[in-house]
Amino acid sequence: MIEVKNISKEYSDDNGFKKNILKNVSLDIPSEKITSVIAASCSGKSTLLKIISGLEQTTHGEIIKNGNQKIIYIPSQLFSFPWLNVEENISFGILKKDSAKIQSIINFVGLEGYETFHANNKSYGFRFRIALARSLAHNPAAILLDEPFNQMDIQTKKEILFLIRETQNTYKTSFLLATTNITEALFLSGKIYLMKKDPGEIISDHVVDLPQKRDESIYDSEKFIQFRLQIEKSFKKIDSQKLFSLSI
Amino acid sequence: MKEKKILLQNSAALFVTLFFVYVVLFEFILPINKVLPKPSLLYESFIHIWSDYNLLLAFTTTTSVIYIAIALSILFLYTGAGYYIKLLVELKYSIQSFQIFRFIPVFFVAVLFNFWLPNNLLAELLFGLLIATFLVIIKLFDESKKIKEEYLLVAWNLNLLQSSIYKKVYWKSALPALSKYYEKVHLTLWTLILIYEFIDNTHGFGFIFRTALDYKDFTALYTLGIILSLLIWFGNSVIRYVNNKIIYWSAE
Repeated sequence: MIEVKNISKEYSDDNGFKKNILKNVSLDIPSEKITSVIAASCSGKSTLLKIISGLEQTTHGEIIKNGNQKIIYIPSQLFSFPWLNVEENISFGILKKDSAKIQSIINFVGLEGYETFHANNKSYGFRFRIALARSLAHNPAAILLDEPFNQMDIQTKKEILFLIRETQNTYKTSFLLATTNITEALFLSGKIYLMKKDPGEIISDHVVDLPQKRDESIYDSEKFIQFRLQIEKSFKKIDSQKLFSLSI
Repeated sequence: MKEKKILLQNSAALFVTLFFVYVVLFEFILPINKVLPKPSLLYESFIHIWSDYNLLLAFTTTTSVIYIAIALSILFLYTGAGYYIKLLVELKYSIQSFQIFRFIPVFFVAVLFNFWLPNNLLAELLFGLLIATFLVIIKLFDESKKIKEEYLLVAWNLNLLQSSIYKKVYWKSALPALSKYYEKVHLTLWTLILIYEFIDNTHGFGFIFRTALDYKDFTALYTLGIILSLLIWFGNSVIRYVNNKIIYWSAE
């Protein structure tokens, strides 16, 4: 379990003008579960994930985790290092490479046969598979996904949604997904946090009590629709202008 | 690919047309003029430059200086890339203040070095090496500022040592632009070395230029211009070919 306690983040621009990006954000990332944060664009989701992964410092608050737990952040701009092939990209940053393990991860994410390819101009789905495999190669306690589906077509998005659930089941990794999309979050998560913007602040959390095994039919289930309405309702309580980039 | 083919065809057509106009105009219509020499004189002039001006020695001298300087600058860059990037990134504000020197004309640099260094080949090579290295280090500095934030985020997140990040991320990310920049370095070196030799007046193509000018050997100057253009074009093509073979990626 990774605990995020009362995180606040303040930025000041060149003129000394200070802006609160995050205010007292608290959330839990339970072990072996998928958790989501739903918020509109520019509400500090990326900042929150960067803070949790240790890439940015907080102004206040703390992240409580075991000292040796690795938290991997996958940026929204999916990429692979263009000078490395797929296999080299996946084993990037590993000091003692275990070829058998790397190969099993490659097979798992569906990149078998592409080991020597350079993924420079490949699709976002391909790039995501590489980013996910690179993360898994480092045995992370948690993987933080920053709006991963933004530039994916419907079919790819569907495949990747299933891949994330399968990864969580197989590798027992925790995930924290930051998204603007309610349906994606509901499909994947066991728990959802709603965050408002200006400043980014958690307004409510919802345990998603849906069956563990989920397929496309779940979108039409009554429970799923109820959850969606409930989340939409929670968001409607916030200023409507701050909802402009939220999608269903 | 298709665009490249069209460009090549257009360039070839332009060259043939200009050559045809030149032959007709200056061989038959205006054989005696002060603008361009008669085409038939060019071949004679080439023989004349070869024997009287010792073209082969000049060719060996100048091209050796230029290409050895380029090769050494590449070697210098490759062996210490991580270390230079570390310096460039960590001292970026100090380095930025050196930008004021970019307004110094390159001609002046050649004159100054000629004044400082002794008149021999080794000094000329040193001058070439300093210029080539300086140019690519400045380019490396520019490129290290343009690195994609995502590359760094992933590298930091995977706990790579900063020294590894300089070598494995900054350097690799800068390589495509840097290798392409060598075409510009090549052209600048040709210009500066020619100026250096012209002032030095002891050896190389620059020396032949100076001698031909002293004798007002107009046809020799013209022939020399054509030879140099062909050499620069050939050198540039080799650099481009090698780059395309070795640096197969772009930084996106």
